[in-house]
Amino acid sequence: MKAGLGVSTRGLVHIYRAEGHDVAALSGVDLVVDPGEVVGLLGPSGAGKSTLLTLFGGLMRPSAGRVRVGEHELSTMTEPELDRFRAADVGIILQGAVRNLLPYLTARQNVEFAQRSAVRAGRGVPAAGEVLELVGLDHAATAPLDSLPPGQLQLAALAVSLASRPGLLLGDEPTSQLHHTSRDVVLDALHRVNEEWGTTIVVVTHDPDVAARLPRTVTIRDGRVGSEGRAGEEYAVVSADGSLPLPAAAVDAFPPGALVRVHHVDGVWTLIPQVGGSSDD
Amino acid sequence: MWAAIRYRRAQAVVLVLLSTLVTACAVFAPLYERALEQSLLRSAVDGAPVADTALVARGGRSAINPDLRPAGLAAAVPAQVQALYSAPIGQMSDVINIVPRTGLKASPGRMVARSDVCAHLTLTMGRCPAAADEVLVSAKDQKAWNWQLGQRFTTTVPGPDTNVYPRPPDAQAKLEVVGAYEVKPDPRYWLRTTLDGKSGTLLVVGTEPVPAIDDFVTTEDTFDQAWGQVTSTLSFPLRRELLSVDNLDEVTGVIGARASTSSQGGALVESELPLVIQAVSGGQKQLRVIVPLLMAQLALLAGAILLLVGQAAVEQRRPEAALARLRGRSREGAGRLVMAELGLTVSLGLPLGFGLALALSEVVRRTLLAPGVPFEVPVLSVAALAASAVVCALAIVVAVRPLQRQAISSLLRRVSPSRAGAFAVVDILAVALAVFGIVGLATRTLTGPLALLTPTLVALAGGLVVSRLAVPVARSTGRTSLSRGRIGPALTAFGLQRRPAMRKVVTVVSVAVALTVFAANAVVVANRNWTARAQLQTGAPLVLETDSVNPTTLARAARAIDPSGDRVTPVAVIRQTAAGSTPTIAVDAEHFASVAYTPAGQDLRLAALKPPPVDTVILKGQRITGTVTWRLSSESDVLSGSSPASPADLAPVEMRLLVTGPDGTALIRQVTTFPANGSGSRQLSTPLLCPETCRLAGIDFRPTDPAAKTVSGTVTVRGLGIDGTSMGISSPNSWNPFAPVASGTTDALDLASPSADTMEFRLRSTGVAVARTYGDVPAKVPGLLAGGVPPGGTAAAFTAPSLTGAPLSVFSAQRPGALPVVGARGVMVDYATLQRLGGTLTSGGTLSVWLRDPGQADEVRKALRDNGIGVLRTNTYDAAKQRLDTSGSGWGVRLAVFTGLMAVVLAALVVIVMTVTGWRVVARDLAALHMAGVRMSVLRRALVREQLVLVGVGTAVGTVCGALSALVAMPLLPLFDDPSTPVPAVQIAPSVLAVLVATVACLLVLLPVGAAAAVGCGRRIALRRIRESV
Repeated sequence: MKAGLGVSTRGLVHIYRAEGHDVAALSGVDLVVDPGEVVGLLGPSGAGKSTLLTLFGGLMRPSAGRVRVGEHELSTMTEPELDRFRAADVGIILQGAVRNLLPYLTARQNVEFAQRSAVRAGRGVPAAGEVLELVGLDHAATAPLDSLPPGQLQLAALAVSLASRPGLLLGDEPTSQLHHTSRDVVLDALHRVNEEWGTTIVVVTHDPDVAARLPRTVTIRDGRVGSEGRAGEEYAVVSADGSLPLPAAAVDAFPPGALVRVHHVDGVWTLIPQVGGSSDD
Repeated sequence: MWAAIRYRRAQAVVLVLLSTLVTACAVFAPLYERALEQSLLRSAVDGAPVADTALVARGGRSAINPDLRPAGLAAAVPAQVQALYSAPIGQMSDVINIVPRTGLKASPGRMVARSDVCAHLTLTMGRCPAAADEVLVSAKDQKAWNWQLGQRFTTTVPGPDTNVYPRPPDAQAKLEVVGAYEVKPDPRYWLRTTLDGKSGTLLVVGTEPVPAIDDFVTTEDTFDQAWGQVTSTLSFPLRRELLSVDNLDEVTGVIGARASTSSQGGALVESELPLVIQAVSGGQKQLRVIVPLLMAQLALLAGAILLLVGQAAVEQRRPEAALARLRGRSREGAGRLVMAELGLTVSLGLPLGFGLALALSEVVRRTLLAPGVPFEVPVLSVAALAASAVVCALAIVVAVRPLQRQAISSLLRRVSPSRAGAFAVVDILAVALAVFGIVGLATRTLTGPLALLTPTLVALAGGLVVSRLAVPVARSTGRTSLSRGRIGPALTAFGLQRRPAMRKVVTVVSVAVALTVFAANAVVVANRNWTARAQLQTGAPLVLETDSVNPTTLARAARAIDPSGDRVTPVAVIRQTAAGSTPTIAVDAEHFASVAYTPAGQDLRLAALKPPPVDTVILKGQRITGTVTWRLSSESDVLSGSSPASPADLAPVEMRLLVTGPDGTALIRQVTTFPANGSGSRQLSTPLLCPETCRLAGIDFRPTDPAAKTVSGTVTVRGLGIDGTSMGISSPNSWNPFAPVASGTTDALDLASPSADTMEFRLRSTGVAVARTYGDVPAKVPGLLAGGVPPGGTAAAFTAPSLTGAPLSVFSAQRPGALPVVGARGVMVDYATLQRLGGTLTSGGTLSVWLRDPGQADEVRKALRDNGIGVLRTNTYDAAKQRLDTSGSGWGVRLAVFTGLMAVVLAALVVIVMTVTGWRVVARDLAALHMAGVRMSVLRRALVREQLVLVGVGTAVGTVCGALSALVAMPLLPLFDDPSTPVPAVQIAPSVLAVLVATVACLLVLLPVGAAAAVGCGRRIALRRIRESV
């Protein structure tokens, strides 16, 4: 049995070049995901969630910094090594179920298609039926895709991403555009995969209900890790250089350029903004 | 794989169809060329008389082989050549002299022994000869001379040539008649041998006519060794079915090596087959230019289309490639996945295309080509199939390469990254090649593959450039329409701006339409030139060459048949045997234009040929009468070795009439003489000596004394006539101007008519005859001269053969490029003028009757026959045109029809395939717009308008490029099998009508196809499309 793969990044930077301008999607992300952990990436549009996911999947190379998945240092791997990595170690669910599926194949055939590279590389893969059973789609394994409802299509996409039984599952909005019933089915399936196979799962989501069902959430803001949620509690995360992004709710109180005094009394750290040239105590 | 193919069923069908067409085009070219070559060969061989294609070994007896018989000649023909021929027919023949009836002189004849001869004769009496000296005589001779069975003839046996002197007397042979024959017609057996047809005619032996007799037929045994001059032949009839394009060169080589110049043991091997084959070779050469010229364009178009369609298909499979890479496939692996699917689809078209090409060539073979063309699959067609496979594979590989170069993150995007840079390189390359090609063709410096491809390259460059320029135009138009609230046109414009298929469709339609326009123009221009050539070769719709030698008789007969002269006209053509000589064609200047064809691009000034309005004076009678009065003075010259003679002692001056006899012979009749000095008068009564009439040609005065340095003065002639009847020739206007014998002399002969019927000549002679010619025939006949001025002359004065072959003094009234029948070299003069000169036709001439309406042929033939004029040969325009139509060039250019049709079909397929490959994206985009509130009808109309604009722009560009290509590339197309300079000159100006018709035809096909494709796509606009990704 393949255990989940841990993920860690250090000073991760990614810059997109568009029409002659450089746009920094990630500007120094430090994050650690433990093996077997289930993590949700949250944040506003354009914050860099999907970019981070893409870098985890080895679909792009970071502009700077390091990304490690299990024993693989992705930033230094060659392209064939990345191909082999995607074939066996990571499963990726693209946003929109149908983008993950060949429309002319059934769910089973799609899983088998996704297994080919791993099989050719000599990696052991589970039976397609086993994968489909795990996600709860064994009853529709041979049905034409265009006859499946959206929830089942998303399960099929999940099955395809799990075809090689990867140690890391990356999902970009795997529950978007789904009715809440279907969404719950998909979330259940994800948890089942995590529980039964120990697969590490990182999903991007905008949905607070989905986030609420995840044991850990990481909020990305302006290309950095803005905060983390654990068991319903939201925490700011101190970065490697000692900086601390404020929670969104506190940003209005501390506009950019504001002078803040950090006060420590009896184990309690207090931020005191300077008012009229002097700070209050 | 099959699931993927099935998923895009329509696209797969189009791809299969496209590869089918590519293969069919490639394979059809060698099949068609091969079938045409075979057809040319069959036409040439089957059209040739059996005798022309037979091989004949011929030998005579000599001291080395005194008993030579036909069988002995077989060794002269190599076994590999004999294999092409049927069993040989042996023949021996020699001269005999037969006295047909006692008391008559011996008639020369021929005795023939031919193998198996009696099977080819009908014996009207008796039996077949079985022993030596037994003969068959012709049934006609037997009947004419009442010869009986058993009758014996004695003939001299021509002995062997010998140097012994005196020559020993010839032996005698006694021939016994054992039967009488009639010949069964069988060209395959008789070849050139004709036994009968002489009976009843006369031969002139020495100075006496003797009756001719048909050949005697005997056995080989008759020709014993005593017959020393017997000729043996062994004739091999060609087994035509064995002659093929494959062994043509071999046969020509072997026969050529043996024929005529080579002899084996004294035998001469003859065959005219190489001449027949030579005509085929000319056609083959033309086909090997025309077929590649036309098919190369189509192949380039088909290849380009396959590449474009491949790119579109690959573009559509980007998400699949992305998924494959997402699941761990390498770049190459993902590419192979797409290649395999497209390759398998395209490969299905290969056998279909091969079959289609075979079927097409079979249709051509059965319906268009000469009978007997075998069904063949030449190796080249298999090679073409392989080449098609390679081209298809290359197109797919080249189309997939960009996909393999893309990173996975790029593949995951919905829109392919811009490749404007790559397209710019292609554009620049295409434009550069097109400009290079056009300049090269215009300056006639370009040959080879680039020259052949230039028409397509021009259209390719035009399409690429215009489609590139169309993008900003569409963008601007879209913004303008949008600002004015015109959603539909704005959607159309933005659609054109955004879709990559736009450039492809415009480019392909441009190339296809250009090719069609070029092909249509080629067919029309070629037909125009063939028509011109056929008209020039024949001269009129129908020409009857007669056996008449009398131009007057023929003209009279023609006029009797058609008094108006507008339907039937006489024509004389006089040729000289010398190579490069200028033939004369004499026509009825007044009516010729209404009957004959005018050479293309020429405006013959026939009015300039009309004879002067002076009637010919025919002299008929006994004596020349009238009164002559002279007043002359002269100077004598110093002759070498003597003192100057006194002018009074000079010999007299002759007054002479220049006349022509009925046969055109120039004659001189001395009228009188008078002293070179002094004056006097004399009554004329001089014998005319023209028993069969003469024509008055002129009058001259000739000092007869060599010592006469000058003679000048006045000679007055009154009442000049025949037997007292005035000729009525006193008007100076009836006479041609004086023409001195040599330039720079003071010779003169002026003519005045001071009173009625009086001619007053003021003459000055420097010792030579001074003459005035009568004005019914100009001193220099006006002529329309085609080609160079004959040697020794100038355009103002040269000679050409008259009816009698005598030189006729002519000046050029016009220099046309070509004349009917005689072509690029000849002079056209007036028939009536030559008729006035008199005479009968020289042996190198032909008198013919030209008809405007071929339907009158039988009627005219009969009328001519009633006038004692036989028709030797009939030439028709239709037959001449037919010959050109079925020449190698003719068949080759007809391929243009195929290429034009295929180009339009390919373009239509591209329009469809671009819609089929892109409809999901288009439908999804428009569905989004529909969701945003744009009415479905507006969206659908915009789609249709988009397609119509694409097709319209492509067609416009293609038409311009096709016309331009037609202008510069038509000289590449050899229109005639004959390698010599075409006459009349080839007219390659593009046909505006052909260009327009081809354009309209293309529009009629492509616009509905484009509209239908757009409607089909429009029907698929639905909101559910928004969810689709692949």
